[in-house]
Order: sequence, then C-alpha cells, then structure tokens
Amino acid sequence: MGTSYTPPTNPDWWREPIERTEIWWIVLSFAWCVFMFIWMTGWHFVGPQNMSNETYKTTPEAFSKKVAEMQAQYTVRQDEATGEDVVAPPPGSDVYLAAMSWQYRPILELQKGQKYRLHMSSLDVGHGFSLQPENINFQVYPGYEMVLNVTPNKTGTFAIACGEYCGGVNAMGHHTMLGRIYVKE
Amino acid sequence: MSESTSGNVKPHFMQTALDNQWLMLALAVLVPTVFYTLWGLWDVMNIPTAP
Repeated sequence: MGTSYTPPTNPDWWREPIERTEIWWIVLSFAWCVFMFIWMTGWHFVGPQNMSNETYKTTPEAFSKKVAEMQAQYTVRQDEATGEDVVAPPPGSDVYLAAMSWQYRPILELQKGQKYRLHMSSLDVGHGFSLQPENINFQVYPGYEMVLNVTPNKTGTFAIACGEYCGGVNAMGHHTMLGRIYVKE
Repeated sequence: MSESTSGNVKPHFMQTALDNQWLMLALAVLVPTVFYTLWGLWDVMNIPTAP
C-alpha cells in the first residue's frame, strides 16, 4: 500500500476497488463543490453582499455629457460645505456619478426608499468607489459604465472616498478624492 | 509492483492519462487558460455599448 507521496504499488491501480470511506469523501466533496457553484447565484439575493451590476462600454466624453445633462436638469442648490452642485434626480431615474482625479461629481441627493439606476464611470484613470460608513466598494474604470440598481434605506450624509490609489503625475491627490451623497426622507 | 496479478494487463486509459505528467502539466495550463483568461477576454470583448 502506497501513500499520497509515493506511487501506487499495484501497477493496475485504476481497477482496484475504492475503499468505502474514500468514495464517501469524493461524493460529499464533489456534491459540496456543485452546491457552492450553484449557490454563487444565491449571494446575489441573500446576505449583505455587494450589489450585482450591469456593465457597458462608454467613453469619458460620452459619460461626462450624460453627467452634465443630468446636472443641468436637476441641480437644486449649491452644497454649503463645498460649494459644488447638489443634484436631486427624480426617483426611478438614471443617476450619473463621475469619478475623476480627484473628485466624485456631482453631489447627489436621493430619497430614502426610492429606486435609482446609478451609473458610474471614470473620466481618466481607475478609481475606487467606497461608500462610507456603509462600506460598499466598487472599482470604477475609464471606458466602462457600471450601472447599479440602488434603493437607499437610510437617511443621512454619506461620504464617497476613492478606494483605489489613483496617484497623479504632478501631484498626489488620491487622499483628497471625496464625494458625497445625501439621502432624505 | 508486488501486487501485480498479471504482467500483461493493459492499464486502464484513465490510469495511463493520470500517470502522464506532461499531459497533467498541459491540462493544468490549458484549463485555467480557457476557463479564466480566454473566457474573461471573450466576456470583456462582448460588453455592449452604453445606450
């Protein structure tokens, strides 16, 4: 009898009957693999996992145009803290959020319990979307538009921090890259 | 080799395959390449353009 470190001693080892406990280990572990594989779809519906997203190809020009159109249509005020536009798109609409070195724009104001289609893309390099304090994280790439179906379930002020080191050629602004989402009743 | 019942038994083809380390190496490279790299590239190339 060999071990797992030495070749089998029987030259016709494939035709040897398999020991009962080994068969059980094989069947159980294979069944578990199949279950976990199928259950991967389950995590899209169960548990506090990252949301499933749709992805489309885009360009920085096309995406910034969509952001500008939304901003022109739904800007409601200037943010007191930053002076940036606060955009409050109607519930159920498409909301566009652009990442760029080094900011997330515009500032969004959403309503609790309402559904939105949140589109995100980068206008230059790869950035990270990190919503705090909820700790929801995504990567945001240039050339790709990611769409998330979101329903804010808490009111408050949420910060977006860049979670992917985005550096810079002449300056280092990654640590200052912030955005904001307001959720109201 | 002491448990051999007959020296003329042709090994099962699965045994021949599993004993072939070069085949195992080829499969170890090929399977992840097809199911990870090529599938991923195919997926990225088929992303639709944003409406």
